[in-house]
Amino acid sequence: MERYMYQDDSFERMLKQKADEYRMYPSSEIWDKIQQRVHKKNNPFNFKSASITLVLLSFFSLFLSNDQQANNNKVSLSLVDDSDVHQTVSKTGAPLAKVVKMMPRVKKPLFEANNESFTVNAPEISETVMPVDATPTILVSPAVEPTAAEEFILPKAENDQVVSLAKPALYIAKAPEQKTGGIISVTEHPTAIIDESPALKTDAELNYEVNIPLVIKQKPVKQLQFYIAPSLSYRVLYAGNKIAFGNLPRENPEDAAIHNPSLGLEAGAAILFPVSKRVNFRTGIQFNYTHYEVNAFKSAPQLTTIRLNYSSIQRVTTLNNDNGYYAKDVANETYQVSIPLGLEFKLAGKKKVQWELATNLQPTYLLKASGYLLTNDLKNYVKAPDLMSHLNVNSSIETFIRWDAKSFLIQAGPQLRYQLFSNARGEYPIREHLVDYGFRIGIVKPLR
Amino acid sequence: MTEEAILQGCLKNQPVAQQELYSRYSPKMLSVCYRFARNREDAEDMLQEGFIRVFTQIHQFQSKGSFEGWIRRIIVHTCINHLKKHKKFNDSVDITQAQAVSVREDSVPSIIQAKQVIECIRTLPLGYRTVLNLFAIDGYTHREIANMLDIEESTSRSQYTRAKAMLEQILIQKQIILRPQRQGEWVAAAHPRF
Repeated sequence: MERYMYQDDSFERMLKQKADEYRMYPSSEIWDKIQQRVHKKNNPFNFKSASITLVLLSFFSLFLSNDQQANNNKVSLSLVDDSDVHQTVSKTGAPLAKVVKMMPRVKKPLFEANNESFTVNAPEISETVMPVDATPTILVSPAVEPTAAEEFILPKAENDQVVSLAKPALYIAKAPEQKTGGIISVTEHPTAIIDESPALKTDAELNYEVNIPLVIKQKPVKQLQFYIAPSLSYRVLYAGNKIAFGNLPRENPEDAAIHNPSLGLEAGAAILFPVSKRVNFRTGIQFNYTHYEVNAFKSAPQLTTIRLNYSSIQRVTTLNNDNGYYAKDVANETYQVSIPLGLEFKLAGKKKVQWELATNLQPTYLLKASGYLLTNDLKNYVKAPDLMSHLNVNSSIETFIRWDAKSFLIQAGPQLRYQLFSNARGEYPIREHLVDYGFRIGIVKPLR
Repeated sequence: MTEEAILQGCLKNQPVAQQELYSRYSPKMLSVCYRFARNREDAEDMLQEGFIRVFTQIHQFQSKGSFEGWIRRIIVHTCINHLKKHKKFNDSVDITQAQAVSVREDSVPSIIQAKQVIECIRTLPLGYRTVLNLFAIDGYTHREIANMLDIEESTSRSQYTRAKAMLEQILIQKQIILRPQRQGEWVAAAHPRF
């Protein structure tokens, strides 16, 4: 009765031991398929690989020329070389032999072990054994017919020295004196048959210094995003060279007209299309509400003139920019719908938490606007929604943290939205651009 | 052929060296694949893909660690990729089916037990089996498993706990192991019931 007496991880040790003892032999066509695929991939006339190679070589030849030498120097194995084994076996003076194929059906244990040593129940060397000069590779083949696709298990010796055929481990000199009885004492060639590799080590332990890229390439998926962004809405006024101030000295409209920011809002839904591991393309639909307060004064009705580039219009207004009966704040609001087209870049982070930067352009349609415009002389405000441009383009940049909330992702971060073209139509000489400083909160759901 | 000669030959894309490497490691690696796979055909598919990756990525091997470990890691990752690709993580095997495991009788208890243990592992539901294989046998941490399988680390732990309990139950019921008399002592049955 075998006993497995370990401490806390006894069960895991038993499983690993049994799993490591197990061997299976693949069918012969597997190797043929591998060979076909590997050499097809390495076909020098493969157009794709050749072109990629050429491009890579042309771009990185200088760098690679230095690194290549370093890599070549690095390639050396830390595994135990079998030169010692070779010497041990050669001492017998007998010719060495190599078994080309070993696909045995095990009907009796290959090894018999006790606490002191264990023996190999070696079969007689048959016709399948080919003499070679210096290659010390002899694998034990029981006297049964070779069978492809057959399981084979290596018993574990009780002294915890594990016998493995994973390495060219079994070396047997074909010496005449060793043929008697077909049993070879392993203690005569202990180095040759005991696998020194730590067979009970885990894969992770074996690989603690192996640096290879992760084979797994998770395919990015499309994601659905809903978001809302409360914001503070401002405006920026530019006069440029188009403005005509009449007899008034040139004045910056930004200084002449005072406004206060107010709360705006942005909400929308978007689909994120993965472009690469770190980049998503984002598009969807978005509604914008902007709102700022114009600081004006209520006054007596006045006839004012708005001078456009090649014409002028006259309106009556009771809003004075300079003075009046009393101060009156006027809400200048817009309602817009837009189609954001942008990219998200993952700057840092992994699956759980990511830091991202996003930017987009938003072709925008103006649904409704209060349309209070400053007159050319900067003295009055006129309600003229008919002068507002219905088509515009907003741009936006944002950075946010996105984190995993099990079934979906949550994101939050500041954003800046700037309207690229003036609120009013092109003929209006004072250009008003809307600016929104917002904080976007959103949820993202992967679309499987 | 020495290990280094095999490696150098494979780096030069020499078929002889590649075949030597394949002959040397394929039995062990197929048994690794078999633990993850649904059947032998799937295991051979995994093995094939894995060795193609080994041969095509062998230039990435650095001699800092074990060559076998490097191969094994690629094979394990290929197995996980294969399972993901074929979306088999949602498959499940009923416990009654798991208990109906039948294995071929053999003459050496140790051999029988190894095969039986493997077969019993393979009868676990796929999610349990995968986590158990990765943690208990291949030595990955729960964090690594969580990353590999796109699951929570806590999920990996709970899956493993359940998998272990289920496997213990199966192994004891099949009398492959005996129930431990005290904590930490597992006894392999001398005459397993088939």
